[in-house]
Amino acid sequence: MKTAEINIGEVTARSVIDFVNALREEGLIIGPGEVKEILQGLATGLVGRRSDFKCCLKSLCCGSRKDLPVFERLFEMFWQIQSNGVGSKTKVKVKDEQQKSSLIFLGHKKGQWGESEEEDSRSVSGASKVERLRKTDFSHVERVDAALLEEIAAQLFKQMEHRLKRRLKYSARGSVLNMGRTLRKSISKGGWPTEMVFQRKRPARRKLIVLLDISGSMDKYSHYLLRFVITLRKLFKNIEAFTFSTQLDRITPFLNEKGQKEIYNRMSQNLNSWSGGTRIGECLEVFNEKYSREVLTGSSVVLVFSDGLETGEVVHLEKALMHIKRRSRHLIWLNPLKGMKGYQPVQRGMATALPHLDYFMSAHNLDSLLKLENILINV
Amino acid sequence: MESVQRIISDFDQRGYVLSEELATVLYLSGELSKPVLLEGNPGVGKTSAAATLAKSMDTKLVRLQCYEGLDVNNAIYEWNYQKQLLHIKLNEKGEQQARIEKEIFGREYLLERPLLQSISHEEGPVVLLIDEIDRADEEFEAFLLEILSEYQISIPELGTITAKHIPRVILTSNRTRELSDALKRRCLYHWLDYPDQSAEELIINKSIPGIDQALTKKMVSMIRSIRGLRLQKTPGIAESIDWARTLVLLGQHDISKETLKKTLGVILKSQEDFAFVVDEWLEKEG
Repeated sequence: MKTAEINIGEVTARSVIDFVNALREEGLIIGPGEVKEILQGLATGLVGRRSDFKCCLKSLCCGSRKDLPVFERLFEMFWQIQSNGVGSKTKVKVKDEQQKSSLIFLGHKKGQWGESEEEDSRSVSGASKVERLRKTDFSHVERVDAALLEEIAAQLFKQMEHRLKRRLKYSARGSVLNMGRTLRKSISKGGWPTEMVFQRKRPARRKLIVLLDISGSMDKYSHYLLRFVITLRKLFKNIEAFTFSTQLDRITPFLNEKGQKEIYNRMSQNLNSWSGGTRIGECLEVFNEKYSREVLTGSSVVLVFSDGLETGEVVHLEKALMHIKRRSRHLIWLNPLKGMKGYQPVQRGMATALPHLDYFMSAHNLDSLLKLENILINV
Repeated sequence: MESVQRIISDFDQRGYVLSEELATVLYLSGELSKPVLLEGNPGVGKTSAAATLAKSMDTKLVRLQCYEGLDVNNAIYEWNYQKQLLHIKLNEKGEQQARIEKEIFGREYLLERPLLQSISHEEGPVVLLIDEIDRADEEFEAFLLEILSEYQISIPELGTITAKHIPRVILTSNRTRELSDALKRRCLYHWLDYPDQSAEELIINKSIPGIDQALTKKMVSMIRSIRGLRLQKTPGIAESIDWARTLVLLGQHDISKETLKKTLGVILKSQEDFAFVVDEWLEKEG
């Protein structure tokens, strides 16, 4: 069927539009202008051969490499049906059913590190409940407080967003003539300003790359960390985010309030791999292999949110981190466990990672997350 | 299609092995006056496709290399400030100010950068290559959009300059970041992949006439399997041509393990890749 010639008579404007609509349903962005151009292109006589016809449609409909497989699949389905003479209205089934929502992911399960640490949260002293909650480890938040914490988090993240935005804007003033320097330089040229001096250009905002551990041991934290990452998204246009446990998943397209649900869905799909433990090293290797060339420029800042409890071979982790370090400006590791009293980064994973990090910070409560602001301001 | 075949043979004469698919895209871009967006790994011949197109159209290639922080001054035009100053200085005495002002904002004092060059070219359309667009800032991308849809540039002191001939625009991207949908929508998209075995053999034969066929075959299949490995920098077509040249220079007719080790530096540009291929891959392949 693949090589079947398409009968010119059968390719009508109507069927092209139906095909384009099917592509649109799959998320390809195709405007009416393109449709017009497709028809124009076909009018120049490209319909004769299937390969020319396909190529014409492909170059006009696809805008990225990820569109190609979608196009290929639909093209085969659609035009095969077409050349069989079946009506063009055949609906292509698009979406699989909604995945079950994952409250499991948010589940307030029993802490994995014994009862003794439980005291941590209770012993926190603060002027008010808000103050206390800011300092409370995410994993110890009681069910009653969860809603309140959510509220405080939203508020604080919003404030941080404001502060960062304001400061970024101030430094974002474009290049302006520096009169003083220009005059000073002109003295040696007999008072003629032959060389103009400009105010230092604003440093290009760097790329931020977030790698979020969503393995079982992190489940208490992942939710808040994800919220934090979504806040970061608003500040950094250049952000790329990934989640990992036993496998790596790119979540950048879903980093907004609406997409949050989608992220949970994706996480819940990976639930079955939880028992396998965290393979940080291997996931980072996949990241290096698949994405690093695209997202790691020498100036990017990489944030890793993970407890560093590696179950795989640490050799992978070390190699992967060295690779990332060499291709980024800062490598920052945020470990929720660091907030625990008496925590020492001695487990295999964390101990391996430590020498390669620029910053090693805690990420167990709101205050610790907000501390990241001071580093990000210089990003 | 006759015209598509003609493009292929035009390119072929100039040493570029063009796939039918890309030829169709290039043909369409001429017919629809749309820019072509070429994406693909480094070293698959994106830039040289544009250069060959210019040659086959017998026209000038205007190249704009993008980088972080590329601004309007470097992409479109700039006033030749020093020359203007000099002119003022020379005419300091007794001249009318208004006339001088008019003079110093004339075409003579304008430094044309690639985008303006490509639009103001008098003799026929040029090929405008906007190389590595993904390296430029998003702001610049937005600005580029305006030019690519109107093909005109307005200079406050001079007025609007409209293209006499719409240039053939080719954008290339290495996918270091995703381009905006608006820009992608205005372009014909083509993903340029590594050539298949026979195409690459053809490329090698074209660049090094008289090379041993058996050697070409073996070398291409080897480089193709090296491309399949997890490397930091995958060798492109330029590397395979270099390698073929090296082998011919060394008078090799077959690729032994030793030869491979000695010449591997031509195709692999990182110490880790080198070690990986020598230690693991070579051992396994035997």
